[in-house]
Amino acid sequence: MFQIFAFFRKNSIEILFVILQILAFAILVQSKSFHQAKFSAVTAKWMYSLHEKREKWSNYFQLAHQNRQLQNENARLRSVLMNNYSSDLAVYSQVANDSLRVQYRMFPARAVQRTYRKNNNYLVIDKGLRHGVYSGMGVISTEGVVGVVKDVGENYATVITLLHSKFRLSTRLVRNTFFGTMLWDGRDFRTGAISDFPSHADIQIGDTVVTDTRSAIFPAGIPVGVIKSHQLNSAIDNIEAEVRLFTDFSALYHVYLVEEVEYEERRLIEELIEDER
Amino acid sequence: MSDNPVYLFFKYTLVLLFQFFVLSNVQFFGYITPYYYPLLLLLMPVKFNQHTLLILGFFTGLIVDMMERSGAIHASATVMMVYLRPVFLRLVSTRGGEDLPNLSVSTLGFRNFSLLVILAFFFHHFTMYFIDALKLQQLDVILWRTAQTTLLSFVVVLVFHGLTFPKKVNP
Repeated sequence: MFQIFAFFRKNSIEILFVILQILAFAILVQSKSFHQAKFSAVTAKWMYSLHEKREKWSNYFQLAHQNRQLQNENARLRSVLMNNYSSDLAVYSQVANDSLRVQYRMFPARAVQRTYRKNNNYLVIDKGLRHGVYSGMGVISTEGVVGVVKDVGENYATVITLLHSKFRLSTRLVRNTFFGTMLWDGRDFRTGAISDFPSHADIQIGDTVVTDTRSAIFPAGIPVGVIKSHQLNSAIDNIEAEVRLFTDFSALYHVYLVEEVEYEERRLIEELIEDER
Repeated sequence: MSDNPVYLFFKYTLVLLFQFFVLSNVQFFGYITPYYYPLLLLLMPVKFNQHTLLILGFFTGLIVDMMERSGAIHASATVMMVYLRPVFLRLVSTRGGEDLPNLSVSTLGFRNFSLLVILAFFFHHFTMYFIDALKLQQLDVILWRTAQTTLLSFVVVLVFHGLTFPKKVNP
Protein backbone atom coordinates (compact mmCIF):
# COMPACT_ATOMS: atom_id res chain seq x y z
CA MET A 1 0.00 0.00 0.00
CA PHE A 2 2.74 2.41 0.96
CA GLN A 3 4.59 1.47 -2.17
CA ILE A 4 1.64 2.61 -4.27
CA PHE A 5 1.56 5.93 -2.47
CA ALA A 6 5.30 6.22 -2.86
CA PHE A 7 4.94 5.52 -6.57
CA PHE A 8 2.28 8.21 -7.00
CA ARG A 9 4.32 10.62 -4.94
CA LYS A 10 7.47 9.99 -6.91
CA ASN A 11 5.85 10.23 -10.34
CA SER A 12 3.20 12.82 -9.58
CA ILE A 13 4.44 15.20 -12.29
CA GLU A 14 4.35 12.48 -14.95
CA ILE A 15 0.88 11.43 -13.83
CA LEU A 16 -0.41 15.00 -13.93
CA PHE A 17 1.17 15.42 -17.38
CA VAL A 18 -0.58 12.33 -18.72
CA ILE A 19 -3.92 13.33 -17.17
CA LEU A 20 -3.74 16.81 -18.72
CA GLN A 21 -2.81 15.39 -22.13
CA ILE A 22 -5.71 12.94 -22.02
CA LEU A 23 -8.02 15.77 -21.01
CA ALA A 24 -6.76 17.93 -23.89
CA PHE A 25 -7.21 15.06 -26.31
CA ALA A 26 -10.76 14.44 -25.10
CA ILE A 27 -11.63 18.11 -25.59
CA LEU A 28 -10.08 18.00 -29.06
CA VAL A 29 -11.99 14.91 -30.16
CA GLN A 30 -15.22 16.33 -28.81
CA SER A 31 -14.60 19.65 -30.56
CA LYS A 32 -13.90 17.97 -33.89
CA SER A 33 -17.10 15.97 -33.94
CA PHE A 34 -19.57 18.25 -32.26
CA HIS A 35 -18.52 21.49 -30.68
CA GLN A 36 -16.86 23.00 -33.72
CA ALA A 37 -20.21 23.71 -35.31
CA LYS A 38 -22.64 23.95 -32.42
CA PHE A 39 -23.65 27.06 -30.60
CA SER A 40 -24.70 25.59 -27.30
CA ALA A 41 -21.43 26.26 -25.49
CA VAL A 42 -21.56 28.92 -22.80
CA THR A 43 -18.42 30.55 -24.11
CA ALA A 44 -19.63 30.70 -27.70
CA LYS A 45 -21.56 33.92 -27.27
CA TRP A 46 -18.82 36.14 -25.93
CA MET A 47 -16.23 34.40 -28.07
CA TYR A 48 -18.15 35.43 -31.17
CA SER A 49 -18.49 38.98 -30.04
CA LEU A 50 -14.72 38.98 -29.44
CA HIS A 51 -14.14 37.58 -32.91
CA GLU A 52 -16.46 40.13 -34.42
CA LYS A 53 -14.45 42.91 -32.79
CA ARG A 54 -11.22 41.53 -34.18
CA GLU A 55 -12.79 41.11 -37.59
CA LYS A 56 -14.02 44.70 -37.62
CA TRP A 57 -10.61 45.91 -36.58
CA SER A 58 -8.57 43.91 -39.07
CA ASN A 59 -11.11 44.59 -41.78
CA TYR A 60 -9.91 48.16 -42.20
CA PHE A 61 -6.68 46.89 -43.66
CA GLN A 62 -8.51 44.95 -46.34
CA LEU A 63 -10.99 47.62 -47.39
CA ALA A 64 -9.13 48.44 -50.60
CA HIS A 65 -8.98 44.80 -51.62
CA GLN A 66 -12.66 44.24 -50.84
CA ASN A 67 -13.70 47.35 -52.70
CA ARG A 68 -11.85 46.12 -55.75
CA GLN A 69 -13.56 42.74 -55.53
CA LEU A 70 -17.02 44.28 -55.23
CA GLN A 71 -16.29 46.73 -58.00
CA ASN A 72 -15.21 43.91 -60.32
CA GLU A 73 -18.40 42.09 -59.56
CA ASN A 74 -20.53 45.17 -60.16
CA ALA A 75 -18.83 45.61 -63.52
CA ARG A 76 -19.55 42.02 -64.43
CA LEU A 77 -23.19 42.30 -63.39
CA ARG A 78 -23.66 45.56 -65.27
CA SER A 79 -22.30 43.97 -68.40
CA VAL A 80 -24.97 41.27 -68.40
CA LEU A 81 -27.89 43.67 -67.89
CA MET A 82 -30.58 43.22 -70.50
CA ASN A 83 -30.18 46.64 -72.05
CA ASN A 84 -26.64 45.76 -73.08
CA TYR A 85 -28.02 43.31 -75.60
CA SER A 86 -29.82 44.08 -78.81
CA SER A 87 -31.84 41.40 -80.51
CA ASP A 88 -31.74 40.75 -84.22
CA LEU A 89 -35.06 39.00 -84.19
CA ALA A 90 -38.28 40.59 -83.07
CA VAL A 91 -39.66 37.34 -81.64
CA TYR A 92 -37.01 37.14 -78.91
CA SER A 93 -38.50 40.14 -77.22
CA GLN A 94 -41.72 38.13 -76.96
CA VAL A 95 -40.23 36.04 -74.16
CA ALA A 96 -41.99 37.63 -71.25
CA ASN A 97 -40.14 38.00 -67.99
CA ASP A 98 -42.97 36.48 -65.98
CA SER A 99 -42.66 33.18 -67.79
CA LEU A 100 -39.31 32.70 -66.11
CA ARG A 101 -39.29 30.94 -62.74
CA VAL A 102 -37.01 32.20 -60.02
CA GLN A 103 -34.97 29.28 -58.79
CA TYR A 104 -32.33 30.96 -56.65
CA ARG A 105 -32.18 34.09 -54.56
CA MET A 106 -28.99 35.47 -53.04
CA PHE A 107 -28.50 37.55 -49.98
CA PRO A 108 -25.34 38.96 -48.48
CA ALA A 109 -23.56 37.88 -45.31
CA ARG A 110 -20.25 38.59 -43.65
CA ALA A 111 -17.71 36.03 -42.53
CA VAL A 112 -17.14 36.65 -38.83
CA GLN A 113 -14.54 33.95 -38.48
CA ARG A 114 -12.68 31.69 -40.85
CA THR A 115 -10.04 29.00 -40.89
CA TYR A 116 -8.18 27.80 -43.95
CA ARG A 117 -4.98 26.23 -42.66
CA LYS A 118 -6.46 23.17 -40.97
CA ASN A 119 -7.50 19.80 -42.30
CA ASN A 120 -11.16 20.72 -41.97
CA ASN A 121 -11.96 24.35 -42.44
CA TYR A 122 -15.01 26.31 -41.42
CA LEU A 123 -16.46 29.74 -41.79
CA VAL A 124 -18.81 31.46 -39.37
CA ILE A 125 -21.21 33.94 -40.92
CA ASP A 126 -23.28 36.60 -39.22
CA LYS A 127 -26.67 35.36 -40.48
CA GLY A 128 -28.79 32.70 -38.81
CA LEU A 129 -32.31 31.38 -38.31
CA ARG A 130 -33.70 34.88 -37.92
CA HIS A 131 -32.53 35.71 -41.44
CA GLY A 132 -33.90 32.54 -43.03
CA VAL A 133 -30.68 30.56 -43.19
CA TYR A 134 -31.15 26.79 -43.35
CA SER A 135 -28.73 23.89 -43.19
CA GLY A 136 -27.60 22.87 -46.67
CA MET A 137 -27.71 26.36 -48.17
CA GLY A 138 -24.96 27.19 -50.66
CA VAL A 139 -22.43 29.95 -49.99
CA ILE A 140 -20.52 31.77 -52.73
CA SER A 141 -18.23 34.76 -52.82
CA THR A 142 -17.66 37.40 -55.44
CA GLU A 143 -14.95 35.14 -56.85
CA GLY A 144 -16.50 31.68 -56.73
CA VAL A 145 -17.87 28.81 -54.66
CA VAL A 146 -17.19 28.93 -50.91
CA GLY A 147 -19.10 26.10 -49.23
CA VAL A 148 -22.35 24.86 -47.69
CA VAL A 149 -24.10 25.91 -44.47
CA LYS A 150 -23.85 23.28 -41.75
CA ASP A 151 -25.28 24.33 -38.39
CA VAL A 152 -27.55 27.29 -37.91
CA GLY A 153 -27.88 29.32 -34.72
CA GLU A 154 -30.20 32.21 -33.95
CA ASN A 155 -27.89 34.86 -35.41
CA TYR A 156 -24.93 32.93 -36.75
CA ALA A 157 -24.31 29.89 -38.89
CA THR A 158 -21.31 27.72 -39.67
CA VAL A 159 -20.23 26.93 -43.21
CA ILE A 160 -18.24 23.90 -44.32
CA THR A 161 -15.88 25.31 -46.92
CA LEU A 162 -14.38 23.69 -50.00
CA LEU A 163 -11.34 23.18 -47.78
CA HIS A 164 -12.92 20.35 -45.80
CA SER A 165 -12.07 16.67 -46.10
CA LYS A 166 -15.75 15.70 -46.39
CA PHE A 167 -16.77 18.34 -48.92
CA ARG A 168 -17.75 17.13 -52.40
CA LEU A 169 -18.72 19.45 -55.23
CA SER A 170 -20.18 18.51 -58.61
CA THR A 171 -18.29 20.44 -61.24
CA ARG A 172 -17.87 20.48 -64.98
CA LEU A 173 -15.63 22.10 -67.55
CA VAL A 174 -16.99 25.16 -69.32
CA ARG A 175 -15.39 24.28 -72.66
CA ASN A 176 -16.82 20.81 -73.21
CA THR A 177 -19.05 19.90 -70.23
CA PHE A 178 -17.09 16.88 -69.03
CA PHE A 179 -17.93 16.60 -65.38
CA GLY A 180 -16.08 15.53 -62.23
CA THR A 181 -16.36 15.70 -58.45
CA MET A 182 -14.10 18.11 -56.69
CA LEU A 183 -12.61 17.49 -53.26
CA TRP A 184 -9.71 18.78 -51.21
CA ASP A 185 -6.59 16.85 -50.23
CA GLY A 186 -5.73 19.02 -47.24
CA ARG A 187 -2.45 20.42 -48.48
CA ASP A 188 -2.77 23.80 -50.13
CA PHE A 189 -5.69 26.16 -49.54
CA ARG A 190 -5.47 27.47 -53.10
CA THR A 191 -5.69 24.08 -54.80
CA GLY A 192 -8.51 21.55 -55.13
CA ALA A 193 -8.51 18.16 -56.81
CA ILE A 194 -10.79 16.38 -59.28
CA SER A 195 -9.94 12.71 -59.64
CA ASP A 196 -12.83 11.21 -61.57
CA PHE A 197 -12.70 12.70 -65.05
CA PRO A 198 -13.17 9.88 -67.59
CA SER A 199 -9.93 8.90 -69.31
CA HIS A 200 -11.11 10.11 -72.71
CA ALA A 201 -12.00 13.58 -71.45
CA ASP A 202 -10.38 16.43 -73.32
CA ILE A 203 -8.77 18.53 -70.60
CA GLN A 204 -6.30 21.34 -71.05
CA ILE A 205 -4.40 23.43 -68.55
CA GLY A 206 -6.27 26.67 -68.08
CA ASP A 207 -9.75 25.22 -68.60
CA THR A 208 -12.32 26.86 -66.36
CA VAL A 209 -14.23 24.67 -63.90
CA VAL A 210 -17.74 25.68 -62.83
CA THR A 211 -20.56 24.15 -60.77
CA ASP A 212 -22.69 21.54 -62.45
CA THR A 213 -26.46 21.11 -62.56
CA ARG A 214 -26.19 17.75 -60.77
CA SER A 215 -25.99 19.69 -57.51
CA ALA A 216 -29.09 21.73 -56.75
CA ILE A 217 -27.37 23.63 -53.97
CA PHE A 218 -25.62 26.00 -56.35
CA PRO A 219 -26.94 27.46 -59.57
CA ALA A 220 -25.12 25.94 -62.55
CA GLY A 221 -22.12 27.85 -63.82
CA ILE A 222 -20.78 29.40 -60.61
CA PRO A 223 -17.00 29.65 -61.11
CA VAL A 224 -14.82 27.27 -59.10
CA GLY A 225 -11.30 27.46 -60.52
CA VAL A 226 -9.02 26.66 -63.44
CA ILE A 227 -7.19 23.43 -64.26
CA LYS A 228 -3.61 23.70 -63.03
CA SER A 229 -2.32 20.28 -64.03
CA HIS A 230 -3.74 16.92 -65.07
CA GLN A 231 -2.51 13.38 -65.57
CA LEU A 232 -3.92 10.00 -66.48
CA ASN A 233 -4.18 7.44 -63.70
CA SER A 234 -4.16 4.23 -65.74
CA ALA A 235 -4.84 2.05 -62.68
CA ILE A 236 -8.41 3.29 -62.35
CA ASP A 237 -8.70 4.68 -65.88
CA ASN A 238 -9.37 8.22 -64.69
CA ILE A 239 -7.83 11.58 -65.27
CA GLU A 240 -6.76 13.34 -62.08
CA ALA A 241 -6.59 17.11 -62.21
CA GLU A 242 -5.48 19.85 -59.86
CA VAL A 243 -7.63 22.97 -59.78
CA ARG A 244 -6.47 26.42 -58.79
CA LEU A 245 -9.41 27.78 -56.80
CA PHE A 246 -10.82 31.21 -57.60
CA THR A 247 -11.91 31.92 -54.03
CA ASP A 248 -9.13 33.27 -51.88
CA PHE A 249 -10.02 31.73 -48.52
CA SER A 250 -7.41 33.77 -46.71
CA ALA A 251 -9.15 37.05 -47.57
CA LEU A 252 -12.79 36.12 -47.45
CA TYR A 253 -15.16 38.66 -45.97
CA HIS A 254 -18.23 39.35 -48.09
CA VAL A 255 -20.12 36.22 -49.07
CA TYR A 256 -23.55 35.50 -50.56
CA LEU A 257 -26.01 32.91 -49.31
CA VAL A 258 -27.76 31.06 -52.11
CA GLU A 259 -31.36 30.39 -51.20
CA GLU A 260 -32.99 27.69 -53.26
CA VAL A 261 -36.57 28.88 -53.56
CA GLU A 262 -38.10 25.44 -54.04
CA TYR A 263 -35.81 23.74 -51.53
CA GLU A 264 -38.66 22.31 -49.42
CA GLU A 265 -40.43 20.90 -52.46
CA ARG A 266 -37.25 19.28 -53.79
CA ARG A 267 -36.48 17.80 -50.39
CA LEU A 268 -39.96 16.29 -50.06
CA ILE A 269 -39.77 14.80 -53.55
CA GLU A 270 -36.34 13.37 -52.87
CA GLU A 271 -37.61 11.82 -49.65
CA LEU A 272 -40.21 9.94 -51.67
CA ILE A 273 -37.42 8.27 -53.63
CA GLU A 274 -35.71 7.34 -50.41
CA ASP A 275 -38.93 5.76 -49.11
CA GLU A 276 -39.31 3.64 -52.21
CA ARG A 277 -35.89 2.02 -51.78
CA MET B 1 7.49 43.00 -8.52
CA SER B 2 7.40 40.10 -10.94
CA ASP B 3 5.84 37.85 -8.26
CA ASN B 4 2.97 40.24 -7.61
CA PRO B 5 -0.22 38.40 -8.67
CA VAL B 6 -1.90 41.59 -9.91
CA TYR B 7 1.11 42.32 -12.09
CA LEU B 8 1.16 38.73 -13.33
CA PHE B 9 -2.54 38.81 -14.15
CA PHE B 10 -2.12 42.09 -16.00
CA LYS B 11 0.82 40.71 -17.97
CA TYR B 12 -1.09 37.54 -18.84
CA THR B 13 -4.10 39.46 -20.09
CA LEU B 14 -1.94 41.79 -22.12
CA VAL B 15 0.05 39.00 -23.76
CA LEU B 16 -3.07 36.96 -24.58
CA LEU B 17 -4.83 39.97 -26.08
CA PHE B 18 -1.69 40.79 -28.06
CA GLN B 19 -1.67 37.19 -29.31
CA PHE B 20 -5.31 37.33 -30.33
CA PHE B 21 -5.63 40.81 -31.80
CA VAL B 22 -2.23 41.12 -33.48
CA LEU B 23 -0.21 37.93 -33.90
CA SER B 24 -3.07 35.57 -34.76
CA ASN B 25 -3.93 37.88 -37.66
CA VAL B 26 -0.48 37.50 -39.14
CA GLN B 27 -0.24 34.87 -41.83
CA PHE B 28 3.07 34.62 -43.59
CA PHE B 29 2.90 32.76 -46.91
CA GLY B 30 -0.76 32.21 -46.10
CA TYR B 31 -0.40 29.87 -43.17
CA ILE B 32 2.42 30.72 -40.75
CA THR B 33 1.20 32.41 -37.59
CA PRO B 34 3.73 33.38 -34.91
CA TYR B 35 3.02 32.55 -31.26
CA TYR B 36 4.26 34.56 -28.34
CA TYR B 37 2.19 33.42 -25.35
CA PRO B 38 4.27 30.23 -24.60
CA LEU B 39 7.00 32.59 -23.38
CA LEU B 40 4.76 33.42 -20.38
CA LEU B 41 5.24 29.88 -19.07
CA LEU B 42 8.74 29.29 -20.37
CA LEU B 43 10.20 32.21 -18.43
CA MET B 44 8.38 31.53 -15.15
CA PRO B 45 10.76 31.44 -12.14
CA VAL B 46 12.75 28.21 -12.06
CA LYS B 47 11.61 27.34 -8.54
CA PHE B 48 7.95 27.69 -9.47
CA ASN B 49 5.96 24.56 -8.49
CA GLN B 50 5.94 22.24 -11.50
CA HIS B 51 2.41 20.90 -10.79
CA THR B 52 0.97 24.40 -10.69
CA LEU B 53 2.87 25.31 -13.83
CA LEU B 54 1.48 22.29 -15.72
CA ILE B 55 -2.08 23.22 -14.76
CA LEU B 56 -1.43 26.88 -15.53
CA GLY B 57 -0.02 25.86 -18.92
CA PHE B 58 -3.08 23.76 -19.65
CA PHE B 59 -5.50 26.60 -18.96
CA THR B 60 -3.39 29.21 -20.76
CA GLY B 61 -3.40 26.97 -23.83
CA LEU B 62 -7.12 26.34 -23.43
CA ILE B 63 -7.84 30.08 -23.40
CA VAL B 64 -5.92 30.47 -26.67
CA ASP B 65 -7.82 27.47 -28.05
CA MET B 66 -11.12 29.04 -27.10
CA MET B 67 -10.14 32.24 -28.84
CA GLU B 68 -8.97 30.47 -31.98
CA ARG B 69 -11.63 27.75 -31.75
CA SER B 70 -9.02 25.06 -32.21
CA GLY B 71 -10.23 22.41 -29.76
CA ALA B 72 -7.38 21.85 -27.33
CA ILE B 73 -4.25 21.77 -29.49
CA HIS B 74 -2.67 24.75 -27.71
CA ALA B 75 -3.48 23.26 -24.30
CA SER B 76 -1.80 20.01 -25.26
CA ALA B 77 1.22 21.75 -26.81
CA THR B 78 1.73 24.08 -23.86
CA VAL B 79 1.50 21.22 -21.33
CA MET B 80 4.09 19.35 -23.40
CA MET B 81 6.40 22.37 -23.37
CA VAL B 82 6.03 22.95 -19.63
CA TYR B 83 6.66 19.26 -18.97
CA LEU B 84 9.90 19.39 -20.96
CA ARG B 85 11.00 22.74 -19.55
CA PRO B 86 13.35 21.32 -16.87
CA VAL B 87 15.16 19.36 -19.61
CA PHE B 88 15.65 22.49 -21.70
CA LEU B 89 16.81 24.43 -18.66
CA ARG B 90 19.42 21.79 -17.83
CA LEU B 91 20.68 22.06 -21.42
CA VAL B 92 21.18 25.83 -21.35
CA SER B 93 22.52 26.35 -17.82
CA THR B 94 24.74 24.39 -15.50
CA ARG B 95 22.37 23.87 -12.59
CA GLY B 96 19.08 23.84 -14.44
CA GLY B 97 18.83 27.57 -13.92
CA GLU B 98 18.47 27.30 -10.15
CA ASP B 99 21.37 29.63 -9.50
CA LEU B 100 19.86 32.36 -11.67
CA PRO B 101 17.66 35.09 -10.13
CA ASN B 102 15.34 34.93 -13.15
CA LEU B 103 15.28 33.74 -16.75
CA SER B 104 16.05 36.42 -19.31
CA VAL B 105 18.56 37.41 -21.96
CA SER B 106 20.70 39.23 -19.41
CA THR B 107 21.02 36.26 -17.03
CA LEU B 108 21.25 33.45 -19.59
CA GLY B 109 23.20 35.23 -22.28
CA PHE B 110 21.93 35.68 -25.82
CA ARG B 111 23.15 32.32 -27.11
CA ASN B 112 21.60 30.22 -24.36
CA PHE B 113 18.42 32.27 -24.28
CA SER B 114 17.95 31.76 -28.03
CA LEU B 115 18.62 28.04 -27.68
CA LEU B 116 16.04 27.77 -24.89
CA VAL B 117 13.36 29.65 -26.82
CA ILE B 118 13.97 27.80 -30.10
CA LEU B 119 13.98 24.36 -28.42
CA ALA B 120 10.88 25.02 -26.36
CA PHE B 121 8.94 26.64 -29.22
CA PHE B 122 9.93 23.89 -31.62
CA PHE B 123 8.44 21.23 -29.33
CA HIS B 124 5.40 23.40 -28.66
CA HIS B 125 4.69 24.01 -32.34
CA PHE B 126 5.44 20.43 -33.33
CA THR B 127 2.98 19.05 -30.75
CA MET B 128 0.41 21.58 -31.91
CA TYR B 129 0.65 20.76 -35.63
CA PHE B 130 0.98 17.04 -34.97
CA ILE B 131 -2.13 16.85 -32.77
CA ASP B 132 -4.04 18.98 -35.25
CA ALA B 133 -3.24 16.74 -38.22
CA LEU B 134 -2.90 13.36 -36.45
CA LYS B 135 -1.61 11.82 -39.64
CA LEU B 136 1.88 10.38 -39.90
CA GLN B 137 2.03 10.49 -43.67
CA GLN B 138 2.09 14.28 -43.51
CA LEU B 139 5.12 14.34 -41.23
CA ASP B 140 7.19 16.22 -43.82
CA VAL B 141 4.57 18.95 -44.06
CA ILE B 142 4.25 19.13 -40.26
CA LEU B 143 8.02 19.37 -39.71
CA TRP B 144 8.41 22.03 -42.38
CA ARG B 145 5.59 24.11 -40.91
CA THR B 146 6.99 23.67 -37.41
CA ALA B 147 10.42 24.88 -38.52
CA GLN B 148 8.99 27.93 -40.27
CA THR B 149 6.67 28.82 -37.40
CA THR B 150 9.43 28.38 -34.81
CA LEU B 151 11.66 30.76 -36.73
CA LEU B 152 8.92 33.37 -36.98
CA SER B 153 7.93 33.01 -33.30
CA PHE B 154 11.58 33.38 -32.33
CA VAL B 155 11.85 36.64 -34.25
CA VAL B 156 8.69 37.90 -32.56
CA VAL B 157 10.07 36.90 -29.14
CA LEU B 158 13.31 38.78 -29.82
CA VAL B 159 11.41 41.88 -30.83
CA PHE B 160 8.82 41.93 -28.05
CA HIS B 161 10.12 40.17 -24.97
CA GLY B 162 11.90 43.25 -23.70
CA LEU B 163 8.51 44.93 -23.38
CA THR B 164 6.78 42.32 -21.22
CA PHE B 165 9.76 40.89 -19.36
CA PRO B 166 11.80 43.78 -17.96
CA LYS B 167 15.48 43.15 -17.49
CA LYS B 168 15.50 44.10 -13.79
CA VAL B 169 17.40 41.33 -12.07
CA ASN B 170 15.60 41.41 -8.73
CA PRO B 171 12.41 43.03 -7.46
